Amino acid sequence: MDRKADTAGGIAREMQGQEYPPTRLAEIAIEAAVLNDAVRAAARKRLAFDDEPASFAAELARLKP
Amino acid sequence: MTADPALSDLTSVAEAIADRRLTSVRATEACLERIETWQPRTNAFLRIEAESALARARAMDAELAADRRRGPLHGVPLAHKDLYYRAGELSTAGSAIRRDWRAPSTATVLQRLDAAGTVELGFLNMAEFAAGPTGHNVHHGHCRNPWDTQRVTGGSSSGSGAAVAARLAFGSLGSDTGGSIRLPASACGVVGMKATYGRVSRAGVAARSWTLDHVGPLTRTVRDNARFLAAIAGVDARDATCSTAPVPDYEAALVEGASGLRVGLALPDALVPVDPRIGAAVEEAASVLSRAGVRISAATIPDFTELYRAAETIVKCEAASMHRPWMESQPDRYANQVRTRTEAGFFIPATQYIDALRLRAHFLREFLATAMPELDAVLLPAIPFPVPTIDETDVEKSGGPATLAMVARFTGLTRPFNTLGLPVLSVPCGFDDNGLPIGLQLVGRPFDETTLYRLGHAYQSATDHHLKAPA
Repeated sequence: MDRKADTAGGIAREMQGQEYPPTRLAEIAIEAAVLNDAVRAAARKRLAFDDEPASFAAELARLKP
Repeated sequence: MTADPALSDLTSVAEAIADRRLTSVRATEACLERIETWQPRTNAFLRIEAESALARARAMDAELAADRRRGPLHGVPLAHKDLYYRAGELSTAGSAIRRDWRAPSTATVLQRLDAAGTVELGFLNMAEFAAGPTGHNVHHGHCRNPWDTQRVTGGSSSGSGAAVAARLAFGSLGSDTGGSIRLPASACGVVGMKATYGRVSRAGVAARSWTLDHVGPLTRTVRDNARFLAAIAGVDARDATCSTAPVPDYEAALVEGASGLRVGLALPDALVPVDPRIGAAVEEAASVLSRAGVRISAATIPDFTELYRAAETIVKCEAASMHRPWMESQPDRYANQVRTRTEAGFFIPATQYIDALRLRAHFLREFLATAMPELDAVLLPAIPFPVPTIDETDVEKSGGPATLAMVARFTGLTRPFNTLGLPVLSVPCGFDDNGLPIGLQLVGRPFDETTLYRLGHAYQSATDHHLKAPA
């Protein structure tokens, strides 16, 4: 099992109380890494301290023609 | 009005009922007759409620006889995706887990349609828990495209697309988390509206993702859709995410036409490969709009990769949270493709999920600045390839990565607009080489559904794709 799959296995067991077969853990590890890496990269480029989730609805309302 | 009322559109039938040229009972009977013929072919319905529909139609006729018309949908037969709750009634969400579950309350949108005087023919097939872009359902049977029953309907509002296309109902409520209204609208050749996030209440609707779910109508024409949306949109105390913005008279605005509106054409091959036949149909739609006075230019679509993955992050985390008890206690009652799409949600840190939420406002500003700084709408394909067969897209035994690839292929041009929360209208714009419908998308500015309806109506006034029905 590679390092990411091993980490995923640890999260499943120790933090989520779940068990997965090693092959499935390897798939999940890849999928989660792709998503986590993309969001982290996007956040690094854009987010500031004062950004909050609720600003999205306010932004939609503000941009209404 | 056509000789068979079921073949007319919603607006024509509503006006015929209002003028006493047609009764709601006759309109309902006509739909039920077609359902009898088409249900074995399409499996569009999970429950047909003929007796209660006819009783309701009789009541609506009686009200009209007493000079009481509730509004522009009075007496019109509809059918809805089986995730809208009605108190005390079954609501399966297309699942095995909720096969026998009864809802404790009634969805706000159903309450509004009740108040508007519509008739409910039954509830429609859908992807399990609204998680699937094709119409496959291992628990209740796959929904089949009425244009070719070997091909998919699109999902997750599969029954909504099939039922409206086959003229079994005059309109249908669907829901859309990554394309689930627009994909079946496109594959089945009907009109679908995913309105701005917050435009329509989600109260009493089984969730796929609270953040990205949108409720909206599928109909045969743009005018029908405008009339339907007006009946369900607006503020709702039961849904804190619902906007307080007033609801315009969408249908009245159609007379304004589309002349002078500015539309950007996008065939974003660099993001998602667009089949030449699909691209040509959308380009031809741009030409039609141009002849209607619309100013067409090229739109630049930003790279959706990070935005798409942020959406996936949100959906998976929220789905993992809400499904966790069942995924742990009865995992075998999920289809493989639904369970495997959700599992990664348990492995995404909360910080990443929250950052995905925080990013939405940035993505929204960036899209509007990049793609439509001087535009009223962007025109692009809905499904960028010909409608595939049910067998070609069956990933139930293929495992997680194959499921993810299939989902990404279908939703590459639809899911980004759930993250952005922008209104999108899907309109049929031709047929592929197999005789299956092609759909375009018109993306608008926040809460500007009116402009999309004006464009869509202008397009349908000049074309006849929406008038063709499966034989």
